[in-house]
Amino acid sequence: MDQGYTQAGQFPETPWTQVRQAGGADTRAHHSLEALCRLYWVPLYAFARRHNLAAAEAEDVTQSFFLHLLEDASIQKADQEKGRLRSFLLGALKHFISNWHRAETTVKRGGRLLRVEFDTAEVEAVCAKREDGLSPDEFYERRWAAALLDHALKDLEIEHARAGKAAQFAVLSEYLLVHGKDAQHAEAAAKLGITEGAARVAVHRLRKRFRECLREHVAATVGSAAEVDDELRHLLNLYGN
Amino acid sequence: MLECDICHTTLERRGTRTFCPACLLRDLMTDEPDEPLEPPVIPPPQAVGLPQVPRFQLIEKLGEGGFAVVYRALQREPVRREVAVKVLKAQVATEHVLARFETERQTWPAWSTRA
Repeated sequence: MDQGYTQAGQFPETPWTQVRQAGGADTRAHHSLEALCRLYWVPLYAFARRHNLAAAEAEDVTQSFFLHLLEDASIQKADQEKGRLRSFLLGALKHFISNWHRAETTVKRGGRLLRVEFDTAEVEAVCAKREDGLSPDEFYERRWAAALLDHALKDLEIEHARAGKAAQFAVLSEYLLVHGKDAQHAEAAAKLGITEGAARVAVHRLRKRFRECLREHVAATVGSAAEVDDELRHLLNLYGN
Repeated sequence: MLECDICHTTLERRGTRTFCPACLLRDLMTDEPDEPLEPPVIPPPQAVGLPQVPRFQLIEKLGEGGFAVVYRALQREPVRREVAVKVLKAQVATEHVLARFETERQTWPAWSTRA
């Protein structure tokens, strides 16, 4: 590897570094790649839709693209790439679309494909709107940001469910997404039967954990600690911050 | 297409709720990393019609005798704690009653210690 950032004492091994090191060849790296694909399925599908592919065609392209990555070991090309999975996958998908022949690949549908659960109607509702004026690349990155937030939120939900705090999460998560630091803690407190101060602390802790989950997801797709901060800044810059 | 009132970013929808991803990310990145201090205990409001007693917040009337009324109260200083406050009735505050009250006052801390 070119930078050796998985050595002891440095940036811990991540799914993306596992994939890059193994070239998609070993089982662990293969599973890592599948996990990463779940994060990127919707953003890449959204790119294909914004690239003027119809919904069914975009789905075919996305499924075939991941099949290509998983089974044809083309991920080895990522060895030549430095840094982010986000940019690697977008570049690879563009190349794939330019060479894609639907007749050859649709027969593979229903075979051993990566199936990603997502709300088709919700994704389509977002993809169908063109008035945002975003280019396919920009749209992909916005969907990537939304996917990161979704995955971090899902992590929190699972953690709370395992701790027997699903009901508390259902209430507090409403305030997690509220803009500003003056979220309506009194309302949360009333719903949970706790003091307003306790609700404020609970929301603060939830936000802190949310931030950690978001960072963990970003960390899984880059090659070094410095790149995590770069990616987080990139996330903010997507919205012109 | 719903937009954020603050930054005009297109809102994200998750089930029945909508939120602004830009504002959320900005908030997350700029949140204070440290835990906020536990908020101070907010005492119950002073009940209407109760007498004002320096350093004490009277909460409710517990009982009444011929010479005084006893209240449940919150002592503010030198320590915060819940206490009972006995307030003499002005109309019976003769020298004799005041002396008796003072004797009683001197005796109470000893009771507390024994308890």
